[in-house]
Amino acid sequence: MVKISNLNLEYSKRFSLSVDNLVIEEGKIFTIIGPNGAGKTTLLNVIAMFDRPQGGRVEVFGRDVSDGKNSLSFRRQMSFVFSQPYLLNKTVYENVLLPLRLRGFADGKRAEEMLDLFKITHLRNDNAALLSQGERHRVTLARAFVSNPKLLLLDEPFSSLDRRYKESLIGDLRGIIRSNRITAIFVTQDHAEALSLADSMAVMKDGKILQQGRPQDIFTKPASKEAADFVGVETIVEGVITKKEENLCFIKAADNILEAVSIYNAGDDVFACIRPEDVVISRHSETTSARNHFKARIVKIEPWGLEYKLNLNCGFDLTASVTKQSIEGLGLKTGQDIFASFKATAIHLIKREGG
Amino acid sequence: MFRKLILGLGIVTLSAVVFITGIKAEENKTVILATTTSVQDTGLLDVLVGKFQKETKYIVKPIAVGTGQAIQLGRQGEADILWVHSPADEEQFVAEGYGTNRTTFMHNDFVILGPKNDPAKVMGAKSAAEAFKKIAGIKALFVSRGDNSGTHKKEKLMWKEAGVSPDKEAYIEVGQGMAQTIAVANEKRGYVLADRSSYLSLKKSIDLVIVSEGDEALINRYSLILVNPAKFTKVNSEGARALFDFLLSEDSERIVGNFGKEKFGQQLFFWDLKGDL
Amino acid sequence: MYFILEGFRKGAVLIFGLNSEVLAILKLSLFVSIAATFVAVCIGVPLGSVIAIKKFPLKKIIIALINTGMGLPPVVVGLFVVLFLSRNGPFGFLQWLYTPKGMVLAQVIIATPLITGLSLAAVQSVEPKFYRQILALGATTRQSICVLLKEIRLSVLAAVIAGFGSIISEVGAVMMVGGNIKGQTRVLTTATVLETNMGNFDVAIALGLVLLTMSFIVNLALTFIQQHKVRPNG
Repeated sequence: MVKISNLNLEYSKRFSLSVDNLVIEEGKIFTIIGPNGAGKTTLLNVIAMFDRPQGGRVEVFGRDVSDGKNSLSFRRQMSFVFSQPYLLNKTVYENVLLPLRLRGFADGKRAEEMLDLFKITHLRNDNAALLSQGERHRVTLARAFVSNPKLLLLDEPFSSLDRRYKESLIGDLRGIIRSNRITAIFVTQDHAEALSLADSMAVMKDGKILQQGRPQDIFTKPASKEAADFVGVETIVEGVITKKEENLCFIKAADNILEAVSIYNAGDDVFACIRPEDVVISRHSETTSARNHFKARIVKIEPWGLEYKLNLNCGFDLTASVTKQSIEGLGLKTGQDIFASFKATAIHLIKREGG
Repeated sequence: MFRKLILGLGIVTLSAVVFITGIKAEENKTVILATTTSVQDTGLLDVLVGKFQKETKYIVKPIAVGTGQAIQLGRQGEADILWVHSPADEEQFVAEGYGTNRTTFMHNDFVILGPKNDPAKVMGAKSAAEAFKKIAGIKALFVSRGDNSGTHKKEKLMWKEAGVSPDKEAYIEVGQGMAQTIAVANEKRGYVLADRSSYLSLKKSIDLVIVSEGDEALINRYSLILVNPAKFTKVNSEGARALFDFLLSEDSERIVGNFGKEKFGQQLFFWDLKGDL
Repeated sequence: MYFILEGFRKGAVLIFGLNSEVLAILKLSLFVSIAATFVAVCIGVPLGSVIAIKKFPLKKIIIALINTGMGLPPVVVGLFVVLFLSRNGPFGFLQWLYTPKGMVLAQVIIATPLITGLSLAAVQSVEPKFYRQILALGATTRQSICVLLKEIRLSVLAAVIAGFGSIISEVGAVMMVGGNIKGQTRVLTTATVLETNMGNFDVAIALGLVLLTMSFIVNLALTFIQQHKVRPNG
């Protein structure tokens, strides 16, 4: 669907974008993650024909759009969602109808369908300028979908929303993208968003793509130091919540049970994320208040900045970080069996698609 | 997109121009009459031109400016006929070949206005020239048109005849029309040369009074001059001639003679032309 | 003091008595001002919008020129228009001198830079991404500008109101180019000057009042359009 080869664009003296090879498959959600100034937005702009590259080939819908020609017909097959909702000073209905009006057929029914899909029918006649942030984002999304785009480009669309609202909106959005088989390219700086909304992912820095692949692979095993610097290293375990007692969730991940504090419910498929610094290592099994306590084998010890990273296997991959003093003090060696524990509150759950 | 806009504007302008120039119906109906503000401000111009337009197909465009500008318009062929009051300039205009058929046909007169207390004792003067001498003598404040109009030129002539120059500190050049000049003189309680009709129009709103009048030198003669069509092809000589004949006709004589009687109680202009043309 | 009161009284008489000459002057003033404003808006608003949005070389110089034009002295414009439209001038063949057409032309020249400059500023004050968002929704450049202008309607109409104001109050250019000819090119401003010159201060004041009233009525209409808001649950 989107194929980029040998792309280069010089934005200014200090910044240039350079992508050798990028393929985004049809019907998939592709996420681009990276720090500010990485070139994520510029890449989106090139795909959307807002910026023209100096060299390279950008193939979208089967044709090379780097020549800048016929931008109108091209743009009418896609939708672009910005990080700020730019809505008109009109009713929600009028705002959602706008793309259809621009194309010459004001299909009111379709607009109403979109309002319904994004659960904002009750706001139909309200002035879009007076809604809450979250509601405005929903209107923007409804507007983006009303024209039935083949390609959806989203540039940090949730950056100004609070976490709770974001999660429900992302869930709704994912469902809609899937059911309409839309190809989506989603740019973000937030790891949780990337995990929830990506079939494949690319990490960008300084105008280059550092790594491409599945999100969980990139987050757990960044291929380069640069990628790791931004992405961080985390333990990410796929599992499903089997039981919930009050706010404590029991997660089945492969043969292990993890216990975490979360608002999610039994039956939810989740990613369990554990930061390396939250994992406590001991030579012997100890009684601690930590609800998660596992026997683990040290697979690898490697230096990491001022500390050391331990890759452990406790039935699932677990990464812990320890100081040099700890390694010496505990006499840790590769191949050794040790105990790893972490609190229920140290697990950060992210809802994922089942299967 | 940008280029399209400029092109669009260009096409619109061009077509507007082409369309409009297709309508040249008024070519020979327009007569441009260059005249002076004193003729217009009394209202005489409106009456005469109005009658002419009613009786003929012509549309007159009276451009009432200062005498200097009126004659200049004639010099450039921008007017078809002149109605001015500055004999020296008129003679030169004709001598240089710009105008023909110069006909002096009516007059009104100037008066010298001054404050009631008359510090320069102008009222006792035996002639207009003496009045000016007296004003300069005690360095009394004098307010001038300062705009090269017929009135201004007459004023300069009077200073010359009196053989004096006004004191620089006591001389104000307003650079505007008669009403404004009188208003300034009124405010500052100075002396001013004005045509009688203007004085009569403003009489009730000023404190100045007539301190000198009647002298032959204060007579203000108006002439008509046809702009020479041989020099300027664009001049509407037919229309100009029609207006010329009308203004010198008996009808006109009658109107001029009666003008002012109703509003001011006295005749403002006096017919000079004897006999038929 | 007497004159001011007399002026009000006379003004009422002229207006309500429907004096035919005053009506003719009023009609012409309305025609010339509205026609000139209309043309100036048709040129100025799209021109200002396009200049604001597009990138092109010497953009800052062009904007500086427009800003200078906003303060163009009307008398200077009048002088140049007279020279151009005079018989010996390059456009003498149009025969627009001393006609309402010439007056409209002069006033268009005076008002267009003003309206262009204000529209330019209004469009530039919109976040650049807003324009891009409209384009991203599938709009042509023309459609984008229309949507944008409707959004900043407040500022655009302020430009129109400013343009109209500069035209209706103008006297120098319109006097020079029109000639203040009775029944042909006499408008409220030039008539006021004439009446003042003739010493008829009461009539001059009356005409001034008529001018203010007319201006107020037109601006009232424009203000209603400008301030029209979308009601929350309309």
